[in-house]
Amino acid sequence: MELFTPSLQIFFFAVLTLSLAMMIYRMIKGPHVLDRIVCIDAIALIVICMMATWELAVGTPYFFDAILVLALVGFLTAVALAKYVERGEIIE
Amino acid sequence: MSSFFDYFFIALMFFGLFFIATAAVGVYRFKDLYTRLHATSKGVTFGFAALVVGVAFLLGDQGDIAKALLAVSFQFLTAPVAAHMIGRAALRKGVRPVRNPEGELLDPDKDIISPEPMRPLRVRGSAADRTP
Repeated sequence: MELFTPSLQIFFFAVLTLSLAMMIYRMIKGPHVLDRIVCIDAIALIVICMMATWELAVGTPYFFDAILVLALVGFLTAVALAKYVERGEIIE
Repeated sequence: MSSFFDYFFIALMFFGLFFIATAAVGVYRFKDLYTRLHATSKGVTFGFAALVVGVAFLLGDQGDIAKALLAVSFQFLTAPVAAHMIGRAALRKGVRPVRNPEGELLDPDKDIISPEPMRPLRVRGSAADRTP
């Protein structure tokens, strides 16, 4: 894609990496387990956004399948972990 | 050759990037689980939707557009469910907001768990409020 110039790619990846670093800081520091679960949910979506930007920058044609799968699995991890913290079991 | 619509999709990608950066700053700076949940569950979801749809339309492949729209619609369906589950678990485990009901600030690092289990707030005009 000629409109997505290399300087624009560097800017996009820098902002996404900075966001990821902020999420990982909160994930290490976060006082409660549920803070970390919130960060897991957000980190999955930021990684998906990095994959989409990578696909546009490099041109690898298979990343959208992985995007679809990760968007489904991230929801399941958040719900299962929240239910485990709440009740102590996942499947009753 | 880049058409007019390509500039529009690049602008859409910038829009999504702005929302993701805003949500990350919110997670970094907010002092409270509930406000952090508010920041991620709306900001990151909307930014993800704008960025992925922009990338898919910029690539122009029909299969990619279909997959991106499917992932975005699924995320819009399930992100409120996940946020609701996390918020309900936090309320039942007794995670406190950073201000107590009297309005004074608590230390966000020390007293995050209330000693007695918290009750849900009573909303004025709800069914539980109308019964005497």
